[in-house]
Amino acid sequence: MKADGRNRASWLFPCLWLAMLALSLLAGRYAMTPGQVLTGLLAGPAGEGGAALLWNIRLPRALLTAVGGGGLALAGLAFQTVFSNPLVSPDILGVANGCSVGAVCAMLFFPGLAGGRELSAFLCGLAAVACALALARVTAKDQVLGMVLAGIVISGLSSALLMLLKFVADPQRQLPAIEYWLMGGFQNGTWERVISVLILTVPAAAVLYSGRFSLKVLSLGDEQAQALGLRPGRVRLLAVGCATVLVAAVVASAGVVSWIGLMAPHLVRAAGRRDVTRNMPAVFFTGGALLMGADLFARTLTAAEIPVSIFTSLFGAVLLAYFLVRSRRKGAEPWN
Amino acid sequence: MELRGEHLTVSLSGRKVLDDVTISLSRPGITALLGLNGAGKTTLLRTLAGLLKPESGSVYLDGTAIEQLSPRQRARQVGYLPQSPAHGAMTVEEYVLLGAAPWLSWGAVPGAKWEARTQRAMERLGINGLAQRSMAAISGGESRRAALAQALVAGPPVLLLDEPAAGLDLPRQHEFFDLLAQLLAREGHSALVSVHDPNLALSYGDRAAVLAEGKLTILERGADFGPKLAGLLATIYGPELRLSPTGHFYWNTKRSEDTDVYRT
Repeated sequence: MKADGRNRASWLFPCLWLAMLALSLLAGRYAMTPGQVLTGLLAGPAGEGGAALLWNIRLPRALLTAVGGGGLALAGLAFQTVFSNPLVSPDILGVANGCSVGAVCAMLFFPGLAGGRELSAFLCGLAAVACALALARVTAKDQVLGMVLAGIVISGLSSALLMLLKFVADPQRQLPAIEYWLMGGFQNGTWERVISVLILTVPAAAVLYSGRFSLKVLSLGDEQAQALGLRPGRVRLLAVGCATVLVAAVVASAGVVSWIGLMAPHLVRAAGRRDVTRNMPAVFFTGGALLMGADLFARTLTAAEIPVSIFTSLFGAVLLAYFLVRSRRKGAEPWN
Repeated sequence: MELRGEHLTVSLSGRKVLDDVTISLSRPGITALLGLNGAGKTTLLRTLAGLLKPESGSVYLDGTAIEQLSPRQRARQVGYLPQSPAHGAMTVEEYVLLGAAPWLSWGAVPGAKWEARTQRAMERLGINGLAQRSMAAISGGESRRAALAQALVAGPPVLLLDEPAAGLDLPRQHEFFDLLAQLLAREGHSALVSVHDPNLALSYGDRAAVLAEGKLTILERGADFGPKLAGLLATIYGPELRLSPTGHFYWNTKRSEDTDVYRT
């Protein structure tokens, strides 16, 4: 079966991901040559010259964006598939807003607690999704519509809580830090954060990947999926749960990173792979490459670090505009 | 394999759509399901497919209540095609391959065996030339064939098809029913197919099931199948529905009376 260009340039996406990873190691305030990077990597963290910089700062940061971006992209794909809507972003159930509330709570009330922000962000993100799912269950007959509406309610509630927290924050000491954190950034990329993101991302991505055929059946809609022997509710819940873990993992360690989950599946489709559930690895690698690219701009464009979401939002908005213009010319849907 | 609905009663929005309906599908061939819009054809098909729980009555598969079977076990025995099947963003080949779903658990992906079955199903329905085309880019008739090919991949002995002829031009309608009749005869499978055109029931139906005001009347094909069906349908559609002496249904209008088209 040669469906959907599976055999066509399968190496392109991992190569792009690896190229961006290499570029992330080379570029920075202190530019390194490929030889220096190689020597530094081989020398280990205790090596001389740029080895410490490489092992302690660039490598964890590059891996964090490479894996985190991939996770966000998979989360976007999962949400778009289970909601049968290609314009759905991973924040549809209020997960990013929930994580933000948790992180800001920790910044205000337990500023000295090690790992407190990550844990609080992750737990609040999960709580937001649990509330959204519970609300969807008791309010609407249509599961998909119910989830979307419940997501809007929980996002609104989280935004209100977030504003309240900002209102009570010290405007001199705490508010600027909160605002900066909410814009997203990987400047504090440490090995601990890489490990925590990997611990959450790998199992969630593996579950989504193993269920890719069921997700594809679900994309036909609940009735047809049910007629083909699937339990749509269970599959949707599992996919939403995994996607939430993927988003929470990134938000907890780097703040809100927008647009990657929406953009990556569309870019893979635009590369001739309409069936993105079949091309999950390509979506993962594209998301990772995008976030590494945005982070590269964020840390190299000026002397001061720029929040990464500025670039992901900029790329995303421009890309969506391009798809819209292209679809108008072709007379097709933007995502076909 | 027998799919049997016994004393099915279903109400939707306070209206009794099916009222103590009993139907058995076991013999090979097509059972044409007729009725006005809103008569409950889709409701009956969805109830028999196990997608809708009846208020009272039960659906049985070879004597086992359908709710005692897992969704996969049920889907292996009963295939259901909705009126407008959704297809997502995928190629014809990928869409047809989804028919393997009832046989695969979470984590499994269809392998070479299912790809070969997909190829065979597409060949049988004459759509193998469209394998790499997007489902969004093929015609209505071709997408109906793709949906039927998907059902063939799973190979359920009972098919429930909701208005598969809707939106197709006349040649495509007959092409589809010809293919369906051939496939059912070859496999010894049975299908309950809702149609609006009584001529399709007359041409391809081995039985006709007429649904009106929640009640189902079943007519077996016999020597006087046409006149009996005409009599039954006239009570629902009105006296304008006539059976011509050549054995075709037509709607009697002022113009057809003036031009005498059906008189011999």
